[in-house]
Amino acid sequence: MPSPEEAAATAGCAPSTRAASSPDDGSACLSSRALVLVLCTQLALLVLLAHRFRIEDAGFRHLLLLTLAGFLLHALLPERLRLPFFLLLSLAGIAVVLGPVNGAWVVGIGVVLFGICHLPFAFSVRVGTLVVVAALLVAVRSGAVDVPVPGAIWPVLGSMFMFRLILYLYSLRHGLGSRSWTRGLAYFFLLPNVCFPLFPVVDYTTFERTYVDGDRLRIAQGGIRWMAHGIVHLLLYRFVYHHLAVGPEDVASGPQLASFMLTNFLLYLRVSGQFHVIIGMLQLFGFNLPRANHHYLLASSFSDFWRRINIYWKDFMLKAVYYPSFFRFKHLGAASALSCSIVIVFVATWLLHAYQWFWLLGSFRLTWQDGTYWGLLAVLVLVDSKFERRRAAAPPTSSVAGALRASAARGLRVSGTLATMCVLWSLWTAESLAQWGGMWVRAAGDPLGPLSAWMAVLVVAGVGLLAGLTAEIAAHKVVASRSGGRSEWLTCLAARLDRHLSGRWTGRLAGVRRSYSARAWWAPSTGCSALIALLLILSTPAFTSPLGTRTAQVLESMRDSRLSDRDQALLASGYYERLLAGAQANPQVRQVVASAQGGEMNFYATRVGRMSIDFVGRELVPSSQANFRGALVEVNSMGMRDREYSRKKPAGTVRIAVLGASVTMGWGVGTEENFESQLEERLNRGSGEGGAPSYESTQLCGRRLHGARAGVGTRPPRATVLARRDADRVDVAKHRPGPPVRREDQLGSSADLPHADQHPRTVAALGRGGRQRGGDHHSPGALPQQAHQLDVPEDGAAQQDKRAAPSRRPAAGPPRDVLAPKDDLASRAAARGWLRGARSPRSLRQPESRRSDRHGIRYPPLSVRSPADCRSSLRGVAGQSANGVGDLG
Amino acid sequence: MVDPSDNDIREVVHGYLVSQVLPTDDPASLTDETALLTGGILDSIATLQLVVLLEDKFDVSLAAHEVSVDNFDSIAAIVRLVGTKLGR
Repeated sequence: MPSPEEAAATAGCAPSTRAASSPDDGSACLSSRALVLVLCTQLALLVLLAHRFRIEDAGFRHLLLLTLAGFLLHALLPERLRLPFFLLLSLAGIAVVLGPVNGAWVVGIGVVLFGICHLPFAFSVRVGTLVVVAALLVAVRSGAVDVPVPGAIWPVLGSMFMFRLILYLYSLRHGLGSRSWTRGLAYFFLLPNVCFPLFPVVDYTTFERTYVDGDRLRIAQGGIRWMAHGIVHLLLYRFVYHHLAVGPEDVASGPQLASFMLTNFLLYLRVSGQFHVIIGMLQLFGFNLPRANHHYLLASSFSDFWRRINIYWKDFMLKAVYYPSFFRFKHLGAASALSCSIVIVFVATWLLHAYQWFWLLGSFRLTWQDGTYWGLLAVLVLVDSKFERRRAAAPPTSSVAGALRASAARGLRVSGTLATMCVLWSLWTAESLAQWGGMWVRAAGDPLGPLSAWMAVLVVAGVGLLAGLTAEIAAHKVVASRSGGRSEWLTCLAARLDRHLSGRWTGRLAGVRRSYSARAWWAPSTGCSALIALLLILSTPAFTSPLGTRTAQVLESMRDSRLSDRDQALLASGYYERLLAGAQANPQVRQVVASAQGGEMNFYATRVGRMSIDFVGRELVPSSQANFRGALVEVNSMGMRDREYSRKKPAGTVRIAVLGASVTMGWGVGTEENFESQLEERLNRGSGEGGAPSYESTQLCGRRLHGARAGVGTRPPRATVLARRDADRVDVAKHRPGPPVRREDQLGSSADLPHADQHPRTVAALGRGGRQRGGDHHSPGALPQQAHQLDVPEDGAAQQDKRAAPSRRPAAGPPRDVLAPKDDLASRAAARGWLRGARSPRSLRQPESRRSDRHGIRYPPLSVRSPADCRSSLRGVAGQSANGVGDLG
Repeated sequence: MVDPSDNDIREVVHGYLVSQVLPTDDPASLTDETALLTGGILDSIATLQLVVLLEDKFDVSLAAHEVSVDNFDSIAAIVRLVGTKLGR
């Protein structure tokens, strides 16, 4: 067991006080209740900070509120009830974030897996049973077996069990750790896990060993500090994303290449920030787990980088792969066994990352990028391990000049390691070898060529290190001259620097650091509070506006997780970024991975969509915004995905309502890219000339569909366009105010719809759409239909499409008063050639040759022609609609 | 080595750490309770080299799962482990 001082050092806490056995022992000046109050206040401020900066998503912020309440109750409970309470809190967190149904699935399957581990059979039988169950889950996850399991549960369930189950079985096999069910279940259902599918691989023995291994409140204080540090990482990540990141397509010179390499690597800040937050949240409840990422930018060798970048993964690999491999090959000799073990570790890491990808995103990902990255890193670590021992055995130096040389050598190693890792990381995250090579080729055209990229990275790394190294040398000198006692803050500083640079509490400062006892409780607490207060100030526009427009803009950009197109492109290019975007970007239900092929996300689990209990079933949340499938979705105050409109129609303006579902909303495309925006833009070309009216097309989705009279204007729109998802057509109908159609009315036969006589076309269209929505509205299978609806073929293709349309309609036949094909706006619009250019959601950022749905059906490109054609077509369509339900003018 | 005492084991481990892992450190700063694994002193390679050394010196056989924080995080823990392997 580590000494109290070392354990404290690992956790970054004050050694002398963490060894105290009771909360009151940890402080000489504050009672435990006062300390709890201080911690609760700090935690509340952190929660406020997370809300101000919109850290992660709504689900996470809800979990933070739950954590705050839970922490307070947890602190008031007697010791024996705290672990069970933590378990209950974790289960509640799953229900809050995932919802009760999905949460029940996760907990149910998890309890079954956990129960199998404890069946009263031989270990091999239990393992065999688990393998069978796991195979069944793989089949369901991959879609090979059709079981109605909610897609939202897989990333969370996979994250909880894919690695931890291995470690748990390992501990059972070797008799390590306790057999407490409470502790075991708490180990799997760790509170923050439901929000972070990319989760540190916590070892069960570490989990047990570090549980309340010191003063609880000290541990909790460390947790708050780590959470604050994590938020700083996440904000830095946003800063890099918004203001520093360079797209690979923008690289045209050496410095740009260097900038790309460095910022691309710095995107890992999001992972390290999340890991800090995760560990911090667990420390609040007594789990004194070690830090997850330890100054990985200061790694002085590739082995050092491997040890620092993800400590939990390294420990997992050591336990599950490295040590067993070494003992298996030990007969070959120590050196050979070590080499074999290192190679096996990196091969296993490659495969296990693909395995992780499968559970989080639904597909097994083995790419050349992964193989190249892990292969090269294995070679580098292997070679480095040979030199590392030699460096460690170098004779000590006592002179300042010697210390200077040693520090300079270390600085160069750090710079070289960082530069090499940036290059490797860029290779790993490249879309293709051609893209990666292209950057270097373009940079080669620069006068200084790729050399300047390396130099730039070295300079950036060197500048950062300069201050640290100088301080380290100064600290060494100070300690040497003062015998490590009189100037305590300097010795503490020196000890901390040594810890950060060398990664351990050793060296000539090892004895000195013992005096770094941080006697006063207020010291770290004050620092953390100051950090939180500073961030809160920065999140307040009233305080930041005097700093200048540019600064205010930068801070504003960091207050939301909105991403630019370029950022989004970068996000989608890297392993972790893909993983985070695919497995975590989803707010409350987290990630809904609806299909193994596409990894669709549930729009109505974002903060802009929600379920409703009326006829429509789903609606947009007014005045909200979120990123969805790479596009920013902004909903105006009327619940439309559109810009703000005045309630009173401006003079000389024709107002058109576009009604519909996901196509109308613009599934997966930007606000300005959906067909409604394009329609409005095209219609308005040339408006105002010669008395031509202006056009406003307003998008009405969900609830606004039949409540349009309350949505826009004091008068109903002059024309209403119904964009239906279940037929290859767009209908035009006259809006007629009336009572909304209720959901229960809609569920019956369309012939029984109560308002069919009132406004038959609208109701008929709604009826058909409603039934479809009852199915898999946002399942991948529905998307091609929606895309096809708008993807009107050019010229002769329109007729072919029109003939094919009936075969895709429901077999039950159309309901009463469904518009005849002759009223099919889309077909007629296609025939007239005016409705082109609306972007298919499936075709987002895909070359034309790849615009096809999951069934391989290809769709032709679209474009909008002249606005005059547009206007005349729309007038014609409205005028020719059955019963003359629409007119414009 | 025939029936080594705890001190013998301690000296071997201490000597290995001072000479191979912490050559620049003050030997006095390395105590029986200094955290080796959790303190970052022993990395994976050094740990396995120490395992090989212990097996050779004291004619004991260690298993992979015994290379853990419980058994290798301090000189005292290593002495206990080897002592257990020697049947004490």
